[in-house]
Amino acid sequence: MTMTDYKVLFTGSVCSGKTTAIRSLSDIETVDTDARVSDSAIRRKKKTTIAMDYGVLDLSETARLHLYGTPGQERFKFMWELMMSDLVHDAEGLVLLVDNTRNDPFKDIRFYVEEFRDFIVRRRLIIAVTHSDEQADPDHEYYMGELKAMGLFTTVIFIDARDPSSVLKIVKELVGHREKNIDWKGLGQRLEVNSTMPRIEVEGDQEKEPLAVSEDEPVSLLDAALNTRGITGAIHLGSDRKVLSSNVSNKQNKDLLRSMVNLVSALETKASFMGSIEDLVLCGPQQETLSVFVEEEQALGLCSEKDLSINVVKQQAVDLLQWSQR
Amino acid sequence: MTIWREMQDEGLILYGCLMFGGELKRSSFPAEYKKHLAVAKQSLTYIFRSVEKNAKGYDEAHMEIGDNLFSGFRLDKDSVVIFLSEHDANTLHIRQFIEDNKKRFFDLLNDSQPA
Repeated sequence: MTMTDYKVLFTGSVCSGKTTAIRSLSDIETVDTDARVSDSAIRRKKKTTIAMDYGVLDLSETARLHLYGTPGQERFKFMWELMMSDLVHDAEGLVLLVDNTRNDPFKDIRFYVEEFRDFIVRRRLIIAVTHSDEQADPDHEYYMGELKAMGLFTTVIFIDARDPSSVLKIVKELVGHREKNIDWKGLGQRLEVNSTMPRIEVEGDQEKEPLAVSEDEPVSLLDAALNTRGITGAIHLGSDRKVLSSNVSNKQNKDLLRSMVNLVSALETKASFMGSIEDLVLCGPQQETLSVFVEEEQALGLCSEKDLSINVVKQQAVDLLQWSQR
Repeated sequence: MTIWREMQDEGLILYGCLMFGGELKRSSFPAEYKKHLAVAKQSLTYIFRSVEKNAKGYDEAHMEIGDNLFSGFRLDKDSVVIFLSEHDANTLHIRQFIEDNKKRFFDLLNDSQPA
């Protein structure tokens, strides 16, 4: 009997559920490469995937699916490229996991679609929305509308990465049309043992899920920023645009960042017909890049190495602001 | 083909303008984008003036507003070229285009014919 091997690549932001989804589906003990977090994600979890996740799912006696997961953090981008050009160059598709609790999940989609543009040109792209139990909106209809507006005609599936039968919907979408002899019900039952869904509390059973968030000393936004590769300084401002904290030692940079925040505040009304001002970035051939990201409640200014791409700085800033503990 | 049209065709920008000494010299912004042009001029002129006073060496600024991106590039002490692009425009490609075509921008600035 000939065995057909399929491959699929999971990607998405830190905490979007890549490792969990692969663990839910794998028949083998997954290979993961966790290490202590050392970037903006440190405020949300202490360990993260640094190289890749790998698992295998036996679909039937004649078909097998190899599951690969990228690290979420941009600083392991070399792994994305390595995986795309080698390990998964023959993959069936890319599953982009999108954390619905993010302030703007569509920013993540735009970022990853851009990063994986060449890879998805010839493959299926499936957008799998996670954490919708914590944050129901945007809903499926909204995703479809926004993606259409972005020119992305793709499948959107809402899943719970902890629930194997839920993640299996992705597999069915990817290979279901090619493999007609898969016993999906039986497969779901077999994978039940992988479930990491929280236990339903029954009367008299006071056992609770362990806390997902570490109870270690909280990491400040500035520490998290400085923990991020390429970021050399940060300034955090409140809704009144007064400095809450700063570790920008260079006075010139500090003054410029404040001046940039003031400019954005001054322009907000005038430019409101175009939408809100998301960010302002200042670059020079020999200078550190200065960026400010302004929200109603807070603003963040970052100094970063000149070689760090603007897109990456923006992505890191989104993470830092989203997880800021004001 | 104008330099603006060339950049449009390459998918780099929507519209552009050239400023000299804080004054608008050339523009491809259509009339219905008058307000956009006003925001672009005001914001990027301000930021480059601040830089001139406080921190030399910065010659490029980008501001993302809604679905749009304003980018300003200093060509020299007095000249700035400003673009309006889609928010996900490739700024590296825009930068490269300017480096490759700097002389054309100066020629346009010095040309008395309408752009």
